Amino acid sequence: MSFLQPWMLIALPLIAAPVIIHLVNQRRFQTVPWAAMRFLLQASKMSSGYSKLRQWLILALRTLAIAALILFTARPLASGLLGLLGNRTDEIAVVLVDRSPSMQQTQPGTGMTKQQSALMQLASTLATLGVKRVAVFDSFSEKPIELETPDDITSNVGLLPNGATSDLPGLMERALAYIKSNRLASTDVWICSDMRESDWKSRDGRWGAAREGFLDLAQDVRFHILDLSSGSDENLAIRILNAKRVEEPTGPELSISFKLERRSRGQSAEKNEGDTIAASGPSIQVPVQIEVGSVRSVLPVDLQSGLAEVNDYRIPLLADEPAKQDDSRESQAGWGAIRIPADTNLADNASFFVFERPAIRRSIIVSDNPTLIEAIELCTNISPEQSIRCATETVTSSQLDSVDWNAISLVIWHEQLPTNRSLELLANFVSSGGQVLFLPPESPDTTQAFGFRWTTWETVPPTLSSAQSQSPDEPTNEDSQAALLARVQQWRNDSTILSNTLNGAALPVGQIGIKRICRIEGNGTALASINDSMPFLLKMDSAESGMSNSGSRNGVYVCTTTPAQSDSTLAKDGVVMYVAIQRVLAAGSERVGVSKMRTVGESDRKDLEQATQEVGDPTVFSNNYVEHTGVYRTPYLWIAQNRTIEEDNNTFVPESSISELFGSLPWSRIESGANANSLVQEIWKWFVIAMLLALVIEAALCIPKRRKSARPLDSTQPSLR
Amino acid sequence: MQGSVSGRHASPHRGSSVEFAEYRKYVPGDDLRRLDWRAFGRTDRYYVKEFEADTNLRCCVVLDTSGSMAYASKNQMSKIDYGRRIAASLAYLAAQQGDAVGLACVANKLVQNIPPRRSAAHLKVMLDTLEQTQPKGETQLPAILDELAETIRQRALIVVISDFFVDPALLKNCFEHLRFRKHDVAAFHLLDTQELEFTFQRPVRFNDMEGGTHLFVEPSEIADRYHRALQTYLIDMQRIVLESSVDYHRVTTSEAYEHPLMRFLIRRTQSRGVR
Repeated sequence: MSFLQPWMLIALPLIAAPVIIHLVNQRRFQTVPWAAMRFLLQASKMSSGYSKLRQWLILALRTLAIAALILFTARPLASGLLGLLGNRTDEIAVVLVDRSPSMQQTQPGTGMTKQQSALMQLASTLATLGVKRVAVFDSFSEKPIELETPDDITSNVGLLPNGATSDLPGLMERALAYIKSNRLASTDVWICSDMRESDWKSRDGRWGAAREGFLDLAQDVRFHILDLSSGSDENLAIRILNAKRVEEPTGPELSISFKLERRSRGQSAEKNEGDTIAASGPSIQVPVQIEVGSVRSVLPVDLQSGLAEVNDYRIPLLADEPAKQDDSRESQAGWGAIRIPADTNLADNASFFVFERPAIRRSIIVSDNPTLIEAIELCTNISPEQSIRCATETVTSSQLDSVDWNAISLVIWHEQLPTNRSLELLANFVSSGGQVLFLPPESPDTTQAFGFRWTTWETVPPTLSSAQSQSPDEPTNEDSQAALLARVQQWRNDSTILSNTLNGAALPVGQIGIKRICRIEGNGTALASINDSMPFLLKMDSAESGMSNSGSRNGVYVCTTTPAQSDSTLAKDGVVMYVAIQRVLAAGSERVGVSKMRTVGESDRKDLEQATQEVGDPTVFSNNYVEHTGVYRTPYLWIAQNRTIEEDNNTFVPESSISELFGSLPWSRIESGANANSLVQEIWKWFVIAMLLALVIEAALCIPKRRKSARPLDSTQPSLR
Repeated sequence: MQGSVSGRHASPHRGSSVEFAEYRKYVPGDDLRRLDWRAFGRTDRYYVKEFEADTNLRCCVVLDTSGSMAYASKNQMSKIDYGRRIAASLAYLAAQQGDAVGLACVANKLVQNIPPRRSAAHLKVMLDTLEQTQPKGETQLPAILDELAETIRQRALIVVISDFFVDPALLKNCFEHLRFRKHDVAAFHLLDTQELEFTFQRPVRFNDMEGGTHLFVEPSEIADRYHRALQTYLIDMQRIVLESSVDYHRVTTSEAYEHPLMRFLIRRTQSRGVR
């Protein structure tokens, strides 16, 4: 048990007072000479066990009353934290809040979400513990929210729910930095979370760094995890998979694909298995409301085995007005939302989308010898879909100023590396999401760009395996020569451009024969290699490319050979080249459109600085659009933000993983009940009640019995004789 | 009362007296002088006239002088003093009537034994003895009463003054023994108010006045059981005196000693017609 005023416990020896008084009273007896001793002895022999028990009871009750009084004044606390908090009350508490959509699930029996419940309990607990100030960290606030009183936790607008997945390891690092920089003394760090793996990222390397950092601190830091993973009821979630505008002969149509899932916590499921798709539940029909602009319709979807997926559902769009039948992309863009009826979690009941007329995928080839790379031009010109148009233009580096860079998706650079103005234009292009593929020139010079430079061409010797595989009865010289070529031995199918196809089959990268490559100097990630020292395809690092702000959109690729017949069989085995180039082109075309579908957290704040909300939570402040789902419109873009896909992957962090994450740091896990107002409660009332009860019972036991008669028999009774 | 000299007490024998008792038919052997000739003249039958025989009284006062008789609650007379007064009063009354009176002081033994005599000087000896006797020691009242029953040869009035804190069964045997020896027995049972009420408040260490034992008790705890034991004892005493035909008087020492004495004398007058 812990106490808010533990120093009062020094009075505990006072519980011996009744015993001492009893003993003193025993010593203060009077001595009386007595004649009728025989009756006294008889009465003493008749003394029952109850009488002795009564005496002991009275003594025990008096002791209990004093003990209850002392404990009451020491202000005892009761909770799942018993013994964990000890007697420590800090001036300031650090709170890490998980504000992810899963925390918006309503707790059974209450009208509150998990986050509201956790914050209320925490506010009450911290107030009870006498915490003066609170520093709250969440994934979107760069600085901690410093609150003057614990009660402000529940009312601070910065702690309203959002649509982003939390980043617990990041929060731990920030909490560590805060404790260090503010030189806090012993600190309690409270973590409010529903223990989802998506928020905890238990395999993230930052956990180890944060743990070591906390262990190195001189001050004592203890962690209390408010576990909100329990108490989830069945929940339906909807997610948009794809939304695009399709031009049909009958007019434009909107094609949407979405997924509907019903998840519930199995009674016997292990905690770390998370929610499961409620496959055993009854088949139900869910009315899915589809909202396109201001037009709404309802599509009943049969949910069988807890899962339903609707693909390519077509909704006719109004034909474009003649005045707007130009290439103005904005006039052909739109937004929408799909919704399901309210259930236990409102945060996953809607998903938003934007769409537009597919942009023309424009590529430019910068080459001083275009004939060598005709095959690439073919790859960029042939569209993979009928509704998508492709266009390619071949220019020289001196013509770059005349290029409309805003319409370009991909640049194929087959010249000496760019310098000066060309480099500047290309860097801006890459920074804005454009993709560049560098191919080696015939005579490379020493120019350096994007963190690398070409060195020399080198003939690649045939690999051992390819030489052995040559069959003696091969019919033609050409085939035998091809068989002698070096092959790509290893490639990464987790990369964007060389990943497996939709049906899971690997690209035939290993069939590509390489005759010679041009060595490079620079740092990049090898996506495909002939051997460890001969990379075939690289993706240059952002920092090396000077694209520190481009983030994941950096798209600078370097191929160390060309599709020319004298260099490789890329053109002959064109499947790999076509797929890779179309993938790069598709990635680059995203910068061209005005509609962007992103997950919350993917956009920069500056992207949404001048945005207006088309649909979403109307209570959200405009400076917080970046962390909330909805459709936002800027002067140049339509942005639909949805929760991350990890939010639907409801895996919980197992207890063993938490132990590993915290290592030897002191931590405790507290199951946060839905009905509890506070994690700790002062229970002094119970001690007052106990004291009063003890006193009342003691008084009842002390009341002397009423004597029937002071004189048993009349002394003047006449003789019976 | 049986005695060797004529006195003021009715004798159990018929004899010469002025107090007519009854007529009885003459039987051969009767003294012819006692024939009532007038009755013969009226009825032509022989009747003998009988008279109540008056005799003197032999009274023996047995006073318990054991340690328990020294008890006195606050502002009250001790039981021994109370007993002394009753004993002295009875001795004086008996002496004034010319009856023989004796005194036996009883504790763990027969402390003093003054045989009954009629002289005036004897009264002084008795009163001096009563004054000098001090309560001490355990009581052996039953054994000594048995002894007295054997030693007092002539029929007498035995007046026992005691708190009777002895086994009632033994006491019953003593009373029956005395009655068997044709003695007339009267008992004054002296009790202190505190012994009856037991109104102590604080823890008390009780020291036995007749022995070395002591008992430490919380009076409020034990009072009920004490009263039950006392009541049982008193009921037993009533039953014993009833069965033994003892003239029993329970006396509280807070009462004036004349009152029980008065009750004793009046009752004897009513039952025996003593003048």
